[in-house]
Amino acid sequence: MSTRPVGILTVMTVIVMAVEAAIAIALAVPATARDLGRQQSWSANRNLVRELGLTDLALSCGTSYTRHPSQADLFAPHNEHPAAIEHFPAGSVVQPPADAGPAPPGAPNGGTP
Amino acid sequence: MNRHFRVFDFAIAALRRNPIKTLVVVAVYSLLVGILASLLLYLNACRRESRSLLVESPEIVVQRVRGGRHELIPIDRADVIREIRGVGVVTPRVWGYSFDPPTGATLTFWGADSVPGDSLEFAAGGLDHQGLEHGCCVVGAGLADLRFLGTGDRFPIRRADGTLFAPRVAGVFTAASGLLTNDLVVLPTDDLRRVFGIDDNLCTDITVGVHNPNEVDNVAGKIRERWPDTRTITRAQILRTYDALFDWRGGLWASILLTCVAAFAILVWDKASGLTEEEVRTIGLLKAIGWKSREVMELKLFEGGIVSIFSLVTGIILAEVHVLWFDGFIFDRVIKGWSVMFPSFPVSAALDASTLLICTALTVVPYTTASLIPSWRAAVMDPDTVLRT
Repeated sequence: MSTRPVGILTVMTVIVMAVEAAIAIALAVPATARDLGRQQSWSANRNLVRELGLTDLALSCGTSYTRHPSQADLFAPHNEHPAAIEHFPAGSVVQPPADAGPAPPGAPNGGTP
Repeated sequence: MNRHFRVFDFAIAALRRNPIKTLVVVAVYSLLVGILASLLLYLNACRRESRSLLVESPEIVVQRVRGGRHELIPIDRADVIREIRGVGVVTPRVWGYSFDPPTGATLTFWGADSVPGDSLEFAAGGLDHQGLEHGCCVVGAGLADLRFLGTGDRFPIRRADGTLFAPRVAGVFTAASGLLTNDLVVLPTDDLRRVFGIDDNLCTDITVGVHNPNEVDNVAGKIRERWPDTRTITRAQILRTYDALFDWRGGLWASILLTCVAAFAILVWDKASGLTEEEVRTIGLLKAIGWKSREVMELKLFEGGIVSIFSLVTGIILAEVHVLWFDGFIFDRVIKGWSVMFPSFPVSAALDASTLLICTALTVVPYTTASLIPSWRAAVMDPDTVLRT
Protein backbone atom coordinates (compact mmCIF):
# COMPACT_ATOMS: atom_id res chain seq x y z
CA MET A 1 0.00 0.00 0.00
CA SER A 2 1.01 3.60 -0.50
CA THR A 3 2.94 5.34 2.27
CA ARG A 4 1.73 8.83 1.36
CA PRO A 5 0.13 10.80 4.20
CA VAL A 6 -3.62 10.60 4.75
CA GLY A 7 -5.35 12.96 2.30
CA ILE A 8 -6.67 16.34 3.34
CA LEU A 9 -10.11 15.27 2.08
CA THR A 10 -10.17 12.36 4.49
CA VAL A 11 -9.32 14.66 7.39
CA MET A 12 -11.99 17.09 6.19
CA THR A 13 -14.58 14.28 5.97
CA VAL A 14 -13.84 13.16 9.51
CA ILE A 15 -14.04 16.77 10.74
CA VAL A 16 -17.34 17.39 8.89
CA MET A 17 -18.85 14.19 10.33
CA ALA A 18 -17.72 15.12 13.83
CA VAL A 19 -19.14 18.65 13.45
CA GLU A 20 -22.44 17.21 12.16
CA ALA A 21 -22.67 14.84 15.12
CA ALA A 22 -21.92 17.76 17.47
CA ILE A 23 -24.69 19.83 15.80
CA ALA A 24 -27.15 16.92 16.16
CA ILE A 25 -26.33 16.64 19.87
CA ALA A 26 -26.36 20.43 20.33
CA LEU A 27 -29.82 20.64 18.74
CA ALA A 28 -31.14 18.44 21.51
CA VAL A 29 -30.16 21.16 24.01
CA PRO A 30 -32.80 23.72 22.89
CA ALA A 31 -35.41 20.94 23.18
CA THR A 32 -34.33 20.30 26.76
CA ALA A 33 -34.22 24.05 27.45
CA ARG A 34 -37.72 24.41 26.01
CA ASP A 35 -38.92 21.60 28.28
CA LEU A 36 -37.33 23.31 31.29
CA GLY A 37 -38.96 26.61 30.32
CA ARG A 38 -42.35 24.91 30.13
CA GLN A 39 -42.20 23.36 33.59
CA GLN A 40 -44.36 26.16 34.97
CA SER A 41 -47.07 25.82 32.33
CA TRP A 42 -46.97 22.00 32.65
CA SER A 43 -47.43 22.35 36.37
CA ALA A 44 -50.36 24.77 35.87
CA ASN A 45 -51.91 22.43 33.28
CA ARG A 46 -51.55 19.40 35.53
CA ASN A 47 -53.21 21.39 38.30
CA LEU A 48 -56.05 22.24 35.89
CA VAL A 49 -56.51 18.57 34.96
CA ARG A 50 -56.59 17.65 38.67
CA GLU A 51 -58.96 20.45 39.70
CA LEU A 52 -61.49 20.07 36.88
CA GLY A 53 -61.06 16.30 36.49
CA LEU A 54 -60.34 16.58 32.77
CA THR A 55 -59.89 13.30 30.94
CA ASP A 56 -59.00 14.25 27.36
CA LEU A 57 -57.03 16.61 25.16
CA ALA A 58 -58.85 19.24 23.09
CA LEU A 59 -57.47 17.90 19.80
CA SER A 60 -60.59 17.45 17.64
CA CYS A 61 -63.79 19.20 18.70
CA GLY A 62 -65.91 17.97 15.77
CA THR A 63 -67.93 15.47 17.76
CA SER A 64 -68.07 13.85 21.19
CA TYR A 65 -66.10 10.72 20.35
CA THR A 66 -63.22 12.65 18.80
CA ARG A 67 -63.21 15.28 21.55
CA HIS A 68 -63.26 12.71 24.35
CA PRO A 69 -61.98 9.45 22.82
CA SER A 70 -61.24 7.94 26.22
CA GLN A 71 -64.89 8.43 27.30
CA ALA A 72 -66.42 7.12 24.08
CA ASP A 73 -67.30 3.53 23.31
CA LEU A 74 -66.69 1.46 20.20
CA PHE A 75 -70.09 2.12 18.65
CA ALA A 76 -70.23 5.87 19.39
CA PRO A 77 -69.19 6.82 15.81
CA HIS A 78 -71.94 4.61 14.38
CA ASN A 79 -74.88 5.40 16.66
CA GLU A 80 -76.58 8.07 14.57
CA HIS A 81 -78.96 5.61 12.95
CA PRO A 82 -79.00 1.91 12.05
CA ALA A 83 -76.17 1.03 9.62
CA ALA A 84 -74.72 4.52 10.02
CA ILE A 85 -71.11 4.86 9.03
CA GLU A 86 -68.65 7.19 10.70
CA HIS A 87 -68.67 10.52 8.88
CA PHE A 88 -66.53 13.03 10.78
CA PRO A 89 -63.17 13.80 9.14
CA ALA A 90 -61.38 13.59 12.48
CA GLY A 91 -62.79 10.09 12.95
CA SER A 92 -60.27 8.87 10.38
CA VAL A 93 -57.40 9.76 12.65
CA VAL A 94 -58.95 8.87 16.01
CA GLN A 95 -58.67 5.27 17.02
CA PRO A 96 -61.40 3.79 19.25
CA PRO A 97 -60.45 3.66 22.94
CA ALA A 98 -57.97 0.91 23.68
CA ASP A 99 -60.19 -0.79 26.22
CA ALA A 100 -63.63 -0.22 24.74
CA GLY A 101 -65.85 -3.16 24.02
CA PRO A 102 -67.34 -5.88 26.15
CA ALA A 103 -65.18 -7.06 29.02
CA PRO A 104 -64.35 -10.77 28.90
CA PRO A 105 -65.94 -12.75 31.75
CA GLY A 106 -63.95 -12.28 34.93
CA ALA A 107 -61.85 -9.45 33.54
CA PRO A 108 -60.77 -7.09 36.34
CA ASN A 109 -61.39 -3.96 34.33
CA GLY A 110 -63.57 -4.04 31.31
CA GLY A 111 -65.13 -1.64 28.88
CA THR A 112 -68.80 -1.41 28.14
CA PRO A 113 -70.93 -3.85 30.09
CA MET B 1 -4.32 1.40 12.62
CA ASN B 2 -2.48 3.26 9.87
CA ARG B 3 -3.61 0.60 7.41
CA HIS B 4 -7.26 1.27 8.28
CA PHE B 5 -6.71 5.01 7.72
CA ARG B 6 -5.27 4.22 4.29
CA VAL B 7 -8.33 2.12 3.43
CA PHE B 8 -10.57 4.91 4.74
CA ASP B 9 -8.61 7.40 2.61
CA PHE B 10 -9.07 5.18 -0.43
CA ALA B 11 -12.82 4.91 0.29
CA ILE B 12 -13.11 8.71 0.27
CA ALA B 13 -11.20 8.84 -3.03
CA ALA B 14 -13.52 6.17 -4.46
CA LEU B 15 -16.59 8.19 -3.47
CA ARG B 16 -15.03 11.32 -5.01
CA ARG B 17 -14.65 9.60 -8.33
CA ASN B 18 -18.40 9.87 -8.85
CA PRO B 19 -19.38 12.98 -6.85
CA ILE B 20 -22.82 13.57 -8.41
CA LYS B 21 -23.94 10.00 -7.68
CA THR B 22 -22.60 10.20 -4.13
CA LEU B 23 -24.31 13.54 -3.50
CA VAL B 24 -27.65 12.34 -4.89
CA VAL B 25 -27.54 9.19 -2.75
CA VAL B 26 -26.63 11.25 0.36
CA ALA B 27 -29.43 13.76 -0.36
CA VAL B 28 -32.14 11.10 -0.88
CA TYR B 29 -30.87 9.06 2.04
CA SER B 30 -30.77 12.11 4.37
CA LEU B 31 -34.28 13.13 3.36
CA LEU B 32 -35.63 9.65 4.09
CA VAL B 33 -33.93 9.51 7.48
CA GLY B 34 -35.07 13.09 8.15
CA ILE B 35 -38.75 12.26 7.48
CA LEU B 36 -38.66 9.05 9.48
CA ALA B 37 -36.85 10.67 12.42
CA SER B 38 -39.25 13.67 12.31
CA LEU B 39 -42.24 11.38 12.59
CA LEU B 40 -40.71 9.45 15.48
CA LEU B 41 -39.61 12.61 17.32
CA TYR B 42 -43.02 14.22 16.82
CA LEU B 43 -44.92 11.15 18.01
CA ASN B 44 -42.67 10.85 21.07
CA ALA B 45 -43.26 14.53 21.87
CA CYS B 46 -47.06 14.14 21.58
CA ARG B 47 -47.07 11.00 23.71
CA ARG B 48 -44.94 12.75 26.34
CA GLU B 49 -47.25 15.78 26.29
CA SER B 50 -50.42 13.69 26.76
CA ARG B 51 -48.85 11.50 29.45
CA SER B 52 -47.47 14.47 31.39
CA LEU B 53 -50.95 16.08 31.53
CA LEU B 54 -53.32 13.15 31.80
CA VAL B 55 -51.35 11.54 34.60
CA GLU B 56 -53.49 13.79 36.81
CA SER B 57 -56.82 12.70 35.27
CA PRO B 58 -59.38 10.99 37.55
CA GLU B 59 -58.43 7.52 38.76
CA ILE B 60 -61.87 6.15 37.87
CA VAL B 61 -64.71 7.69 35.86
CA VAL B 62 -68.08 5.97 36.35
CA GLN B 63 -70.54 6.31 33.48
CA ARG B 64 -74.04 4.93 33.14
CA VAL B 65 -74.83 3.25 29.84
CA ARG B 66 -78.31 2.34 28.64
CA GLY B 67 -79.00 0.72 25.30
CA GLY B 68 -75.39 1.34 24.32
CA ARG B 69 -75.71 5.07 24.94
CA HIS B 70 -74.19 7.17 27.67
CA GLU B 71 -76.91 8.24 30.10
CA LEU B 72 -77.12 10.56 33.10
CA ILE B 73 -76.31 8.79 36.36
CA PRO B 74 -78.21 9.25 39.67
CA ILE B 75 -76.16 11.48 41.96
CA ASP B 76 -76.95 9.37 45.05
CA ARG B 77 -74.72 6.61 43.68
CA ALA B 78 -71.80 8.82 44.68
CA ASP B 79 -72.73 8.31 48.36
CA VAL B 80 -72.74 4.53 47.94
CA ILE B 81 -69.37 4.61 46.14
CA ARG B 82 -67.89 6.62 49.05
CA GLU B 83 -68.68 3.65 51.33
CA ILE B 84 -66.44 1.28 49.32
CA ARG B 85 -63.25 0.56 51.23
CA GLY B 86 -60.21 2.43 49.87
CA VAL B 87 -62.20 5.08 47.99
CA GLY B 88 -61.06 8.70 48.37
CA VAL B 89 -62.75 11.76 46.94
CA VAL B 90 -65.91 11.04 44.91
CA THR B 91 -67.13 13.88 42.70
CA PRO B 92 -70.33 13.92 40.63
CA ARG B 93 -69.65 15.90 37.43
CA VAL B 94 -71.89 17.82 35.10
CA TRP B 95 -70.61 18.38 31.61
CA GLY B 96 -71.68 17.97 28.02
CA TYR B 97 -71.53 19.27 24.48
CA SER B 98 -73.26 21.97 22.54
CA PHE B 99 -72.93 22.77 18.86
CA ASP B 100 -71.88 26.35 18.21
CA PRO B 101 -73.27 27.38 14.78
CA PRO B 102 -71.02 30.48 14.26
CA THR B 103 -67.84 28.43 14.59
CA GLY B 104 -69.18 25.07 13.43
CA ALA B 105 -67.51 23.47 16.44
CA THR B 106 -68.93 21.19 19.10
CA LEU B 107 -68.02 22.98 22.32
CA THR B 108 -67.44 21.20 25.61
CA PHE B 109 -69.32 22.74 28.53
CA TRP B 110 -67.90 21.93 31.93
CA GLY B 111 -69.50 22.50 35.30
CA ALA B 112 -67.13 23.74 38.01
CA ASP B 113 -67.44 26.15 40.87
CA SER B 114 -63.84 27.29 40.75
CA VAL B 115 -61.00 27.41 38.26
CA PRO B 116 -57.27 27.40 39.13
CA GLY B 117 -56.07 30.99 38.87
CA ASP B 118 -52.72 30.11 37.30
CA SER B 119 -54.50 28.75 34.21
CA LEU B 120 -56.28 32.00 33.49
CA GLU B 121 -55.40 35.23 31.75
CA PHE B 122 -57.51 37.93 33.35
CA ALA B 123 -57.85 41.29 31.66
CA ALA B 124 -58.78 44.50 33.45
CA GLY B 125 -62.15 44.17 35.14
CA GLY B 126 -61.94 40.41 35.28
CA LEU B 127 -62.02 38.20 38.31
CA ASP B 128 -59.01 38.29 40.56
CA HIS B 129 -59.94 35.12 42.40
CA GLN B 130 -60.64 31.55 41.43
CA GLY B 131 -64.33 31.36 42.34
CA LEU B 132 -66.82 31.24 39.49
CA GLU B 133 -69.94 33.28 40.25
CA HIS B 134 -73.45 32.67 38.97
CA GLY B 135 -73.84 34.12 35.46
CA CYS B 136 -70.11 33.98 34.69
CA CYS B 137 -68.07 31.66 32.51
CA VAL B 138 -64.47 30.98 31.58
CA VAL B 139 -63.67 30.15 27.96
CA GLY B 140 -60.73 28.58 26.15
CA ALA B 141 -58.31 30.73 24.15
CA GLY B 142 -59.30 29.06 20.84
CA LEU B 143 -62.99 29.80 21.35
CA ALA B 144 -62.21 33.35 22.55
CA ASP B 145 -60.23 33.98 19.35
CA LEU B 146 -62.88 32.57 17.02
CA ARG B 147 -65.80 34.36 18.74
CA PHE B 148 -63.78 37.55 19.50
CA LEU B 149 -64.51 37.14 23.20
CA GLY B 150 -62.71 39.03 25.94
CA THR B 151 -63.18 39.45 29.64
CA GLY B 152 -66.50 41.12 30.41
CA ASP B 153 -68.15 40.12 27.11
CA ARG B 154 -71.35 38.09 27.01
CA PHE B 155 -71.35 34.62 25.52
CA PRO B 156 -74.89 33.73 24.41
CA ILE B 157 -75.96 30.12 24.88
CA ARG B 158 -79.33 28.55 24.07
CA ARG B 159 -80.73 26.58 26.99
CA ALA B 160 -82.45 23.20 26.65
CA ASP B 161 -85.84 24.92 27.00
CA GLY B 162 -85.02 27.32 24.14
CA THR B 163 -84.44 30.41 26.26
CA LEU B 164 -81.27 32.44 25.92
CA PHE B 165 -78.60 32.54 28.60
CA ALA B 166 -75.68 34.97 28.21
CA PRO B 167 -73.07 34.50 30.92
CA ARG B 168 -70.35 37.13 31.30
CA VAL B 169 -66.86 35.98 30.33
CA ALA B 170 -64.97 36.17 33.62
CA GLY B 171 -61.71 34.95 32.19
CA VAL B 172 -59.96 33.27 29.30
CA PHE B 173 -57.73 30.24 29.74
CA THR B 174 -54.07 30.76 28.93
CA ALA B 175 -52.83 29.80 25.47
CA ALA B 176 -50.38 27.44 27.22
CA SER B 177 -53.36 25.37 28.40
CA GLY B 178 -54.84 25.25 24.87
CA LEU B 179 -54.25 21.52 24.55
CA LEU B 180 -56.76 21.03 27.38
CA THR B 181 -59.03 24.04 27.18
CA ASN B 182 -59.10 25.29 23.58
CA ASP B 183 -62.84 24.66 23.09
CA LEU B 184 -63.83 24.55 26.76
CA VAL B 185 -66.56 26.66 28.38
CA VAL B 186 -66.56 26.39 32.17
CA LEU B 187 -69.80 27.42 33.87
CA PRO B 188 -70.90 27.16 37.52
CA THR B 189 -72.42 23.69 37.94
CA ASP B 190 -75.89 25.06 38.80
CA ASP B 191 -75.90 27.28 35.71
CA LEU B 192 -74.84 24.38 33.54
CA ARG B 193 -77.62 22.20 34.97
CA ARG B 194 -80.11 24.83 33.82
CA VAL B 195 -78.46 25.15 30.41
CA PHE B 196 -78.64 21.40 29.76
CA GLY B 197 -81.88 20.83 31.70
CA ILE B 198 -80.27 18.30 34.04
CA ASP B 199 -82.18 17.61 37.28
CA ASP B 200 -80.43 18.12 40.61
CA ASN B 201 -80.57 14.39 41.37
CA LEU B 202 -78.64 13.47 38.20
CA CYS B 203 -75.12 14.10 36.93
CA THR B 204 -73.14 13.29 33.77
CA ASP B 205 -70.70 10.92 35.44
CA ILE B 206 -68.89 10.38 38.73
CA THR B 207 -65.12 10.55 39.30
CA VAL B 208 -63.65 8.35 42.00
CA GLY B 209 -60.31 8.76 43.77
CA VAL B 210 -58.63 5.67 45.19
CA HIS B 211 -56.12 5.85 48.06
CA ASN B 212 -54.02 2.87 46.91
CA PRO B 213 -53.27 2.86 43.15
CA ASN B 214 -53.02 -0.94 43.25
CA GLU B 215 -56.69 -1.12 44.28
CA VAL B 216 -58.07 0.88 41.33
CA ASP B 217 -59.12 -2.21 39.35
CA ASN B 218 -60.73 -3.80 42.43
CA VAL B 219 -62.73 -0.67 43.21
CA ALA B 220 -63.80 -0.37 39.54
CA GLY B 221 -64.86 -4.03 39.61
CA LYS B 222 -66.92 -3.49 42.78
CA ILE B 223 -68.68 -0.51 41.19
CA ARG B 224 -69.56 -2.49 38.05
CA GLU B 225 -70.72 -5.39 40.21
CA ARG B 226 -72.95 -3.11 42.28
CA TRP B 227 -74.47 -1.41 39.20
CA PRO B 228 -74.29 -3.61 36.08
CA ASP B 229 -75.45 -0.69 33.91
CA THR B 230 -72.24 1.25 34.64
CA ARG B 231 -69.02 1.47 32.71
CA THR B 232 -65.78 2.37 34.48
CA ILE B 233 -62.84 4.10 32.81
CA THR B 234 -59.58 4.09 34.74
CA ARG B 235 -56.67 6.51 34.42
CA ALA B 236 -54.53 3.71 32.96
CA GLN B 237 -57.15 3.22 30.23
CA ILE B 238 -57.19 6.95 29.47
CA LEU B 239 -53.40 6.99 29.12
CA ARG B 240 -53.47 3.87 26.94
CA THR B 241 -56.15 5.44 24.74
CA TYR B 242 -53.87 8.38 23.96
CA ASP B 243 -50.83 6.16 23.39
CA ALA B 244 -52.94 4.11 20.96
CA LEU B 245 -54.31 7.26 19.33
CA PHE B 246 -50.88 8.69 18.57
CA ASP B 247 -49.62 5.26 17.48
CA TRP B 248 -52.58 5.02 15.11
CA ARG B 249 -51.91 8.46 13.64
CA GLY B 250 -48.20 7.70 13.37
CA GLY B 251 -49.12 4.47 11.62
CA LEU B 252 -51.20 6.42 9.10
CA TRP B 253 -48.22 8.62 8.30
CA ALA B 254 -45.87 5.66 8.24
CA SER B 255 -48.09 3.98 5.64
CA ILE B 256 -47.82 7.11 3.48
CA LEU B 257 -44.06 7.11 3.98
CA LEU B 258 -43.95 3.51 2.78
CA THR B 259 -43.68 4.86 -0.78
CA CYS B 260 -40.43 6.65 0.19
CA VAL B 261 -39.17 3.53 1.95
CA ALA B 262 -40.10 1.50 -1.15
CA ALA B 263 -38.13 3.90 -3.38
CA PHE B 264 -35.17 3.58 -1.05
CA ALA B 265 -35.55 -0.21 -1.07
CA ILE B 266 -35.34 -0.15 -4.90
CA LEU B 267 -32.12 1.87 -4.61
CA VAL B 268 -30.72 -0.66 -2.15
CA TRP B 269 -31.88 -3.59 -4.29
CA ASP B 270 -30.23 -2.03 -7.33
CA LYS B 271 -27.03 -1.72 -5.37
CA ALA B 272 -27.24 -5.26 -3.99
CA SER B 273 -28.04 -6.86 -7.33
CA GLY B 274 -24.63 -6.10 -8.76
CA LEU B 275 -21.66 -3.82 -9.17
CA THR B 276 -20.98 -1.57 -12.12
CA GLU B 277 -18.31 -2.61 -14.58
CA GLU B 278 -15.97 0.04 -13.21
CA GLU B 279 -16.45 -1.15 -9.63
CA VAL B 280 -15.71 -4.76 -10.60
CA ARG B 281 -12.57 -3.66 -12.48
CA THR B 282 -11.41 -1.63 -9.45
CA ILE B 283 -11.82 -4.63 -7.16
CA GLY B 284 -9.94 -6.83 -9.65
CA LEU B 285 -7.09 -4.30 -9.86
CA LEU B 286 -6.86 -3.97 -6.08
CA LYS B 287 -6.68 -7.75 -5.76
CA ALA B 288 -4.07 -7.91 -8.53
CA ILE B 289 -1.78 -5.42 -6.76
CA GLY B 290 -1.96 -7.38 -3.54
CA TRP B 291 -5.05 -6.32 -1.61
CA LYS B 292 -6.61 -9.13 0.37
CA SER B 293 -10.35 -9.92 0.16
CA ARG B 294 -10.71 -8.69 3.74
CA GLU B 295 -9.22 -5.32 2.78
CA VAL B 296 -11.51 -5.00 -0.24
CA MET B 297 -14.47 -5.73 2.03
CA GLU B 298 -13.19 -3.17 4.51
CA LEU B 299 -13.00 -0.61 1.70
CA LYS B 300 -16.62 -1.28 0.68
CA LEU B 301 -17.72 -1.20 4.34
CA PHE B 302 -16.09 2.21 4.71
CA GLU B 303 -17.74 3.48 1.51
CA GLY B 304 -21.20 2.36 2.65
CA GLY B 305 -20.52 3.45 6.23
CA ILE B 306 -19.39 6.97 5.26
CA VAL B 307 -22.49 7.54 3.10
CA SER B 308 -24.76 6.00 5.75
CA ILE B 309 -23.40 7.81 8.80
CA PHE B 310 -23.22 11.14 6.95
CA SER B 311 -26.83 10.72 5.77
CA LEU B 312 -28.05 9.48 9.16
CA VAL B 313 -26.61 12.46 11.04
CA THR B 314 -27.80 14.93 8.37
CA GLY B 315 -31.27 13.36 8.51
CA ILE B 316 -31.37 13.61 12.31
CA ILE B 317 -30.38 17.30 12.09
CA LEU B 318 -33.12 17.93 9.50
CA ALA B 319 -35.63 16.18 11.77
CA GLU B 320 -34.64 18.17 14.85
CA VAL B 321 -34.86 21.46 12.94
CA HIS B 322 -38.24 20.47 11.48
CA VAL B 323 -39.77 19.50 14.83
CA LEU B 324 -38.09 22.11 17.01
CA TRP B 325 -38.22 25.24 14.85
CA PHE B 326 -41.06 24.47 12.48
CA ASP B 327 -43.22 22.60 15.04
CA GLY B 328 -43.42 19.57 12.76
CA PHE B 329 -45.58 21.42 10.21
CA ILE B 330 -45.48 18.44 7.80
CA PHE B 331 -47.17 16.11 10.27
CA ASP B 332 -49.04 18.27 12.75
CA ARG B 333 -52.44 18.29 11.00
CA VAL B 334 -52.66 14.52 10.99
CA ILE B 335 -50.91 13.79 14.28
CA LYS B 336 -52.75 16.45 16.29
CA GLY B 337 -56.00 15.80 14.45
CA TRP B 338 -58.45 17.57 12.19
CA SER B 339 -60.40 20.22 14.03
CA VAL B 340 -62.43 23.41 13.60
CA MET B 341 -60.47 24.88 16.49
CA PHE B 342 -56.95 23.71 16.16
CA PRO B 343 -55.03 23.80 19.46
CA SER B 344 -51.48 25.05 19.13
CA PHE B 345 -48.97 23.58 21.50
CA PRO B 346 -45.20 23.47 21.23
CA VAL B 347 -43.51 20.09 20.98
CA SER B 348 -39.97 19.26 22.01
CA ALA B 349 -37.76 17.13 19.82
CA ALA B 350 -36.10 15.09 22.55
CA LEU B 351 -33.72 12.78 20.71
CA ASP B 352 -33.70 9.34 22.30
CA ALA B 353 -31.89 6.06 21.73
CA SER B 354 -34.96 4.31 20.30
CA THR B 355 -35.36 6.92 17.52
CA LEU B 356 -31.69 6.54 16.59
CA LEU B 357 -31.89 2.75 16.67
CA ILE B 358 -35.06 2.59 14.53
CA CYS B 359 -33.60 4.96 11.90
CA THR B 360 -30.33 3.02 11.88
CA ALA B 361 -32.10 -0.33 11.57
CA LEU B 362 -34.40 0.87 8.77
CA THR B 363 -31.80 2.63 6.63
CA VAL B 364 -28.13 2.22 7.58
CA VAL B 365 -28.14 -1.54 8.05
CA PRO B 366 -29.86 -2.39 4.70
CA TYR B 367 -27.73 0.12 2.75
CA THR B 368 -24.41 -1.02 4.19
CA THR B 369 -25.35 -4.69 3.79
CA ALA B 370 -26.38 -4.02 0.19
CA SER B 371 -22.95 -2.46 -0.42
CA LEU B 372 -21.12 -5.46 1.00
CA ILE B 373 -22.86 -8.45 -0.61
CA PRO B 374 -21.92 -7.82 -4.31
CA SER B 375 -18.45 -6.65 -3.29
CA TRP B 376 -17.90 -9.86 -1.37
CA ARG B 377 -18.92 -11.85 -4.48
CA ALA B 378 -16.33 -9.99 -6.57
CA ALA B 379 -13.65 -9.95 -3.86
CA VAL B 380 -13.56 -13.72 -3.39
CA MET B 381 -13.05 -14.31 -7.13
CA ASP B 382 -9.67 -14.71 -8.77
CA PRO B 383 -8.35 -11.25 -9.87
CA ASP B 384 -7.62 -12.54 -13.36
CA THR B 385 -11.20 -13.80 -13.72
CA VAL B 386 -12.59 -10.53 -12.36
CA LEU B 387 -10.52 -8.43 -14.82
CA ARG B 388 -11.46 -10.62 -17.78
CA THR B 389 -15.24 -10.57 -17.06
